[in-house]
Amino acid sequence: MIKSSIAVISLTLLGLTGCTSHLVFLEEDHIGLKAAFEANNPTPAQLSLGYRRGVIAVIPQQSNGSKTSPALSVTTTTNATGDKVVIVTNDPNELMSLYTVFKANVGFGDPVQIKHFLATGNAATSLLADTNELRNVADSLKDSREQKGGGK
Amino acid sequence: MKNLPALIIASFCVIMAGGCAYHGAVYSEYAQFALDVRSTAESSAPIKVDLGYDRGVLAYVPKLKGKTGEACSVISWQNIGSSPAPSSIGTKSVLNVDAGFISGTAANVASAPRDATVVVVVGPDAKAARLELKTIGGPGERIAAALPFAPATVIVIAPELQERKVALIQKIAALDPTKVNKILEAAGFPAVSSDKAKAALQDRILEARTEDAVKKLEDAFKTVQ
Repeated sequence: MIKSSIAVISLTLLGLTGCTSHLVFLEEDHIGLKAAFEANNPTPAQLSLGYRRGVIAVIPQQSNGSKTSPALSVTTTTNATGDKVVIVTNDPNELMSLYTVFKANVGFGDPVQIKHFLATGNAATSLLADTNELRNVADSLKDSREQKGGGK
Repeated sequence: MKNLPALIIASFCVIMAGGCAYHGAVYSEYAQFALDVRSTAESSAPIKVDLGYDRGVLAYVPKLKGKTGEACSVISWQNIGSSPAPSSIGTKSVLNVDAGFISGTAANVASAPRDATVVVVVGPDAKAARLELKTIGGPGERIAAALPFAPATVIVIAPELQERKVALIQKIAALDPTKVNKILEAAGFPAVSSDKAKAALQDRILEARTEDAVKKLEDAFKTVQ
């Protein structure tokens, strides 16, 4: 309930001020059993078994919307050596870059695996160009899990 | 996020009431899988019971200003899988979730074709440096590569294959770290520091679940014998 109030207040402030300077990402995940009680009531007001996920992302455009977009923001050409060249013109009206992933794998044989990753800005842009770099992110998360005593 | 649907509507109303002073996108998503029971203090009976899958999405995406009239770039996905059958409960994941969200220039780059040179050219008023990237792998492959999971929580391996794996693990004790690293490299894995070499090779053997994978490791062992 408190989290919901915070989210409402944040979004209200954003809406009223027309804030375009910050990207806001709010996520709540729940896996397993959750029982929520209200004061002086022994019966749970909410009982949840399984998976629940809620996301709110407020992503401003890079400019304040006053600039005109280029005619084509993404074009594909071929250079002299025959390689494909994709030219992405940085559109001032394009949204700020956000890349987020949530994964969960729950079974009875192995430990529960829950992973979350978030990148913004040029970090997100550069990362999404290269499969190998994405795999490196995955491997580094796997290593940290093992270092903390997580099983396989 | 107990009242997420109401929150989504409230957010949308706030943005509309603000006269679109806000320039950007709002994305909201709610998903629930399995059992969800709600009640109130006034009523002992449940006011809401969900068993199964429940999902709601709101995407408020502005359009680009210009002649294209195109919307800003957003990629979103959510895959949920479950194997609740008792016969497969020990060998398959009970719950498997894969959800993600990409926006803006990052989404444009994520959807760029395989092995292309991507040049992010700044606009006339932008101060950021030119960004030149080389895509490796197709767009679907790149998005799927982040944070992979084991395909299933338990894999049933044939007894004969398991015996061969045990035999390989037993050979590790007699090897020095240099030879262990040679085996790792011969099998196509990166070498690691000496103190971690034996554990790394043991992990690779444990991860081998197919005839081809075990054969590859056996061949690698032969290179140091």
